[in-house]
Amino acid sequence: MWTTLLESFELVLYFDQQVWEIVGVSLQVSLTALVIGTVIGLPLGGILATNDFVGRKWLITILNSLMNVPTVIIGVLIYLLLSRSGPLGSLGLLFSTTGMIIAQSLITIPLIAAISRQIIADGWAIHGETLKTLHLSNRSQIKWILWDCRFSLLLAVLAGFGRAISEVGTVMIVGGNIANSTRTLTTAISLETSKGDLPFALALGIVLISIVLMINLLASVMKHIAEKNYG
Amino acid sequence: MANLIQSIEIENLYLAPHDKTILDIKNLSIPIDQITAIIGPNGSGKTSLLKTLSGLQTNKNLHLQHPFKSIFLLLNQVTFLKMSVRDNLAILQDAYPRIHDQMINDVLQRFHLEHLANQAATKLSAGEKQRVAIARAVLVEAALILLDEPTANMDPATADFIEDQILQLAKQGTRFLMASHDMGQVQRLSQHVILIVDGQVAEVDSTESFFNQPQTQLGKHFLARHLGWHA
Repeated sequence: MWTTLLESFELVLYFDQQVWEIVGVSLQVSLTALVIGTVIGLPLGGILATNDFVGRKWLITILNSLMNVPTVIIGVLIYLLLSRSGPLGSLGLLFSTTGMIIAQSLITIPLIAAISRQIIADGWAIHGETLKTLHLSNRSQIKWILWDCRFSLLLAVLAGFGRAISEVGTVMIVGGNIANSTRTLTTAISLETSKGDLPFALALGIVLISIVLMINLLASVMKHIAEKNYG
Repeated sequence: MANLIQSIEIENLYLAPHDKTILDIKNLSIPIDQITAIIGPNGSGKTSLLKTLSGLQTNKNLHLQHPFKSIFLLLNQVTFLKMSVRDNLAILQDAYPRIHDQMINDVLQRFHLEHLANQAATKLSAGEKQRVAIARAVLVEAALILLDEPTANMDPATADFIEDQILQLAKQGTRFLMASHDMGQVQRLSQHVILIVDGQVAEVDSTESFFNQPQTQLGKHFLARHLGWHA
């Protein structure tokens, strides 16, 4: 076991090219999906938290349910859509990073929207009346409530990132785990473990955990500094 | 220069959320010379009346008529976003593009807030927050300002400063409709009073006349409780 651990640290410390290629694909796919999830999920959460319209409760229920749908099911659905005989087959996105980004975006959007809706709803309960008295437009009210909740919303975005980078099933189905192309940290760990190359699998695991830890630490420090300044 | 007495005409104001009657006013003419006070026991409907006049609450058959171009409501529980004092004022630029930075500097100076301009608004004292809240109303050049307990929970010096600012603005032409529990303040500031009891208008009179000789039993009762008044 110790030998395996030692070998895995060596792979990380000596910047093994194969490891860093996989890290690159993982970050490219997860961060792009995160940006898409944030750009769509946050305003969606804002609209659901601050507006009352017919079907709102249904939408919230659907959103909360989507958050809990097993990701492999989303993977299968996207596979059917993107496969050659599927409706979007002509785009040739199956087994590509773009296809993986689409699939991961569908995972991050409901997650970020559902968590941010709850955070914004709490903020709205505090500031909603005051913002209305300022005669701001609906869009402007959402903009400012998002800004006010920015520190808490970081948690929603972090949760989206955590879900995206640690996801295996969808990227395996949609990406195909192709070396030097669509292989991500999680799919590679799964493959290398099954092949018995434990030092390599562990090296990838160390990188994955380090990325998640660093991003959480950075967000935590930012949140702390900002809350100290603005309450 | 004497102000012309203006009035707000209200017809069919009936608010009964969750089957509990908050306000039931068939007809009411609110005279506003400079400052008119709304008085009444806790839960009588004073705040709801202010919210209705600001457009925050409404009911189906309500008919409102008044000569004021802009009405601005300052809630008792005014809240601020997690931003600096200056930024909390600057968000008004979304709704009022004519507000420019120099105007914000001017109101900060007028309300002795320039040294707090870059501090977090959420960390201000109650008195400082109320100054920022009134500064907002001044920035938008509201014709009528609705105040809900403007000096509640403030020390005497801060309350005096707020009252002075209200009087100054009133002299410059801004009209005020103010809900207050402070009968001393009502007598110092207002020219007319409206007594509301259990969601209904009990008396509308000049302040002097009301405090010397209330016309209704409810008025006498209210003053007896608050000031130990006896006919």
